Amino acid sequence: MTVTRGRFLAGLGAAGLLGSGGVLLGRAAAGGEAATVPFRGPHQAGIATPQQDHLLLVAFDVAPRRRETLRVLMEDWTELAARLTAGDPAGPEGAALAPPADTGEAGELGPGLLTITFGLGSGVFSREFGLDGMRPAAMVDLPAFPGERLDAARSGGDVCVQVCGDDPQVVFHALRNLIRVARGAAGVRWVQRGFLGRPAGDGTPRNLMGFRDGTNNVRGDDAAAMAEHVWADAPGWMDGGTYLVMRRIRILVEAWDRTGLQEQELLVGRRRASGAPIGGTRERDPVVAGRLDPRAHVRLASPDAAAGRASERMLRRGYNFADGLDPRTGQLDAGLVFIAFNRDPREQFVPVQRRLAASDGLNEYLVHTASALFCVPPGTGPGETVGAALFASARGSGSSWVRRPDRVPDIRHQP
Amino acid sequence: MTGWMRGSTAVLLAAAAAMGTGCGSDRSADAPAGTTARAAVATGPAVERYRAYAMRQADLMVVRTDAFAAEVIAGRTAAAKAMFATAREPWERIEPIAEAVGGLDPAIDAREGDVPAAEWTGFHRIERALWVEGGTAGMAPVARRLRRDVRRARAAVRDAALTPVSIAQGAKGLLDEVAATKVTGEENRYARTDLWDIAANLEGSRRAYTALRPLLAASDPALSDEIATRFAAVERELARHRSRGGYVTFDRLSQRDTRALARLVDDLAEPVGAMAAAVPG
Repeated sequence: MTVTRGRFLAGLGAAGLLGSGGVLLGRAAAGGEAATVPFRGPHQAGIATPQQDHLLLVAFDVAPRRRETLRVLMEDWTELAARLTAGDPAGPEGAALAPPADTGEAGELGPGLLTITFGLGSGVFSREFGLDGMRPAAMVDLPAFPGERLDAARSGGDVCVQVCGDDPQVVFHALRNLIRVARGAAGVRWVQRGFLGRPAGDGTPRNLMGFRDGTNNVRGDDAAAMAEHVWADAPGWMDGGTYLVMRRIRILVEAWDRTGLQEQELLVGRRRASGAPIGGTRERDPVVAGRLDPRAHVRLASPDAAAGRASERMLRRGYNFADGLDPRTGQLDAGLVFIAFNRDPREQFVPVQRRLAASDGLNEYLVHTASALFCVPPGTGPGETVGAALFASARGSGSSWVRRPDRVPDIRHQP
Repeated sequence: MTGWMRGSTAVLLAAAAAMGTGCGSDRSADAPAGTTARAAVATGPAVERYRAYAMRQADLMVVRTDAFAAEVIAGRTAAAKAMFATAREPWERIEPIAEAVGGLDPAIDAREGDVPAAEWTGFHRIERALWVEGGTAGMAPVARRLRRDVRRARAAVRDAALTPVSIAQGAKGLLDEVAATKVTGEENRYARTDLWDIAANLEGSRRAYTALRPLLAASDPALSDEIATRFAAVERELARHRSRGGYVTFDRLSQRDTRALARLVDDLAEPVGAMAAAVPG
C-alpha cells in the first residue's frame, strides 16, 4: 500500500541519494517506486527540479474572496502536497460509510517524482483579500502583445498549482485531490495538460515543431544562474520565490508540416536534426546573430550578451500539449504550454515577448491563446505553509470569519 | 498576415545576389540547406506566365482600392460597404508576392490586435469603421494611406525576383492563410466576407499552380494530377456557398460547413506544399 512508500524512503536516508537538482536519484538508480522530490526546502519544488514527463497546470478562483479563506486553503494544500509528493495518500481510509479520503487511483503507482508548486495571481492582491498593499512591483499586468488571441476562460486566476510527475495518473490523482480539498474555498478556472518526451541522457527535448527547445536554458542545478535570473529577493515574503509566466501557444501544425525544411530552419534559426544554430555545427555552439535571418526565432529570443540581453535569461519549463481538435476546423489544437520562471517579468519575459510578437518569423505558425502570471512564494520548512509570510506581514486581519468547508477527514491531524 | 513568405524572402534575396543585382551579403556559407542550389535558376516561361497574372491583379488592386477609397473619403458608407469584399480580392490573390518584397502586409491587411492600436491602418481598420462604428468618420486619412500602400505593393510585384520555387511557396502560403485564419472566420470579423477572401486565395494559388504545371508535368506528373483533383474538390465545396454573384456571409456557415472546407483546404495544401521541391530552382 501507498503508506509504506513514505517509510521506505525515510529508511533510505535522503543524504546519499540527493542529486544535484535536489532530486532523489530514483528515476535512473532505484526505479519509479522510490522516486521522490523533496517538497520542503528554501525554494518550492518543481522549479529547479529537472523536468518530469507530465504536467497539469491548474488555476483556481477563490471564493469567498477573503484572506482567511485563502490562508486556510494554503494551509490545507501545503499539508496535502507534502503527503502526496512523499507518496502518501491524501488521508486514511476511515469509516466504511464515509467516502474515502483519498480517491485511490494512485494506489500502487509510487510518487513518480511528483512535485506540486503553488502560485498567487494578481487577483489576491486586492482589497477583498486585505492584501492590496502587498502586491510586489514585479507582479505586473502583462501588456497586450500584437497578434495574441487570448481566451479569458483559459487565462489568469487567483491561485495556480503546477503538478508535475513522471506518471500521468499520479499527476491526475494529485490534481483531483487538490481540487477536492479546495471545495468551498476555491473552484477550478482552467486546467492545462502537458507532456514531454525526454531523450535518453541529457538531450534537449523537442517541441511539436520538431526542433530542440531549451538548449540555452538556465539549468536548475546552476545555483549562481538561478540566483541571478530566477530567485526573487524582494519583497521580504517573496525572498526565495519567483514569477511563473504561462503562455498557451498553439502551433498551426498542419501549415508547419507542409513547410520546407529550409524555411523551417531559417525561421527557427537552428538545424532541425542537430539543433546547431545556423552557421554552427553543434547544438551548443553560440548563436551568432549576424549569421541568422533578422526574423529567426533564436536570434530574437536568445539572451544575447552582445545585444545587452544577458539579464533576460529565464528558466523555461514548458511542455507540449495536444488538446484534441479545434471544433471550427477539425485541425489539431496542439502546441506549447510555455512556462518560464523569472525573477522579474518586467526585465525578462516582457521585453523578450515584445520582440517576438513584433518580428518572430514563426508568428505565422503560432497563436498565443492563453496567458497568466503568478508569483510563486519561497519554499517551506517542516510544518510551514506556502505563502505564510505574506499573511503574517499583511496589515489588518481581513475578514476573520470563514466557513471551513465540510470535508471528511482533517488531514492535518494525520501522523 | 503571410509570414510564410519570410523564408522565401531570403530565397529571393539570394537569387538577386546570384544574379548580381545588388544585395551584397553572401549568405551561402550560413544559409540553410538548399538555398544556393536554388538561387541559380531565375526565369522561364512559367515565371513569366505567373508574373503576367500577378501584374494584372496588381493593376486591378490599384483600380478597385482607389474606387473603394473614394467612397470612404466621400463619406458614402453604404457604397463603401458594398465594395469592400471585391476591393480586397486582387490583393488576396497575390498577397504573398507583394508582401515578400514590400513588407506591406501589416499596413494593408492587419487585423485588430495584429499591430499596436495606434499603428493600425488598412482594409480592416476601415472595415471596423464601416460595420462597427457605423460610418466613415476619421477614415479619410486611412483610405489615402491605403491608396499609397497598394501602389507600393504594385511596385513590389513588378520588381519581385520570382522563381519557380518562390511561386510554389506562394501557392502553399495562400492555402495556409485560408487554413489558419480565414476558415475560422477571423479575417473579416465585422463584414463577414471571409468567403470572398477564401475564393481569392484559392484562385491565386491555382494560378500559381497553373503557371508551374508544365514544369511539374515533366518532373512529377502524379503530383500535378493530385493537385488538380484536389483544387477541384475545394472549388466544388466553395461553390455550394455561392449567392447572387458572390458568397453568403461567413456566419451562415455551420460548423459542419467550416470543417468540411478546412479539411479540403488542408488536403489540397499538402501536395501543394510538395511543389517547391518538385520544380527546378
